[in-house]
Amino acid sequence: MYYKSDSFKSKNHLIQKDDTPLSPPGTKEPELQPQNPVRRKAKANSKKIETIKELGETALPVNFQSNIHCLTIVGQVEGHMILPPQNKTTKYEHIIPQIVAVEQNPEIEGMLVVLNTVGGDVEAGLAIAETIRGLSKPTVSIVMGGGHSIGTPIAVAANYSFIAPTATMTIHPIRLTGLVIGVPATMDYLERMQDRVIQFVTENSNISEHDFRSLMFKVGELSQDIGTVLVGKDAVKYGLIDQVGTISQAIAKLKALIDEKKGQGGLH
Amino acid sequence: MMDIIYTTYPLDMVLEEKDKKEQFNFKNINYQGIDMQVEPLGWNKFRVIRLYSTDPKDYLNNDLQPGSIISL
Repeated sequence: MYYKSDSFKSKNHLIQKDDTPLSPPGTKEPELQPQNPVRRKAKANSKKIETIKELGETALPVNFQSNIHCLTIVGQVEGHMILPPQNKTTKYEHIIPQIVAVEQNPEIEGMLVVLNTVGGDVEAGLAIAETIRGLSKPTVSIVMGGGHSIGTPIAVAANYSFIAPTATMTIHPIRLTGLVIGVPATMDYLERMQDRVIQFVTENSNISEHDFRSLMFKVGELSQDIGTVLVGKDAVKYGLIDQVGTISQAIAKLKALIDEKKGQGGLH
Repeated sequence: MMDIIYTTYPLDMVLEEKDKKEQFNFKNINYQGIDMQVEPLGWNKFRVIRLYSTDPKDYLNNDLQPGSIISL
């Protein structure tokens, strides 16, 4: 892996260089330097031709500056264990430094969290959710497609949450994965882990603990499991998500929250 | 320490180890200040698979569209 977390260095860099907005978290030079400078030059010249050849298009200048950054949570949320490569994953070691950079960069005024995830590692998911919750800048989340399992706390962690009318959220119990040895303490550990998820969700949304637990342990909804699938407005009905909406409504809400914060003099 | 995977996906699908031949060979690099996942294609030639950036601007950059070939 070539990725190195360099958030502290990049933060300083972002603040000092205000003429060129940089993307969080990396501002580092490419790490893989070609050894032969002559060949490098030749490569650089051929790059434009290569783009036309490979993709049939030419590069257009990008004149676009956004004060909103977009965080996407896709596929499996990957935790301490690297998942086999057929999984599309969201890694917390990428996400957390990015959120830190969003917090630090004065150019960024709000963050949109777009979810289409099937769940994943409990601890990594909770870590991402807690980091989003801890952000001082306005955040809006939108569940597009699916926000299942550990996606639920991530969706509710934002200041305001949306769900697309066709999107679904599956609420089900945390169960043994077969990776752990079945000692008596294990069930207790699992129970406590589940409580952490329930606590986070109920603290950050309008759903009551009783309702959330009853959705989690509902029998007869899922064919091979206990739990509930909430489609669009159902998630709103139970108070889990604030509103059914589209991406434009989510961005409009985020802009309104930014203006509200500016009005209070809270934003830089 | 144990990992608990909380997902709607069947666990055997998540943890299935495919044949070595089928495995993707993706690398994570930082190019022009943007973290991204690339597929090495040969000496100093990479195909962009996905960007990890949160800046919407980066996704409008034609040179970095998924499928583009970059050289460092």
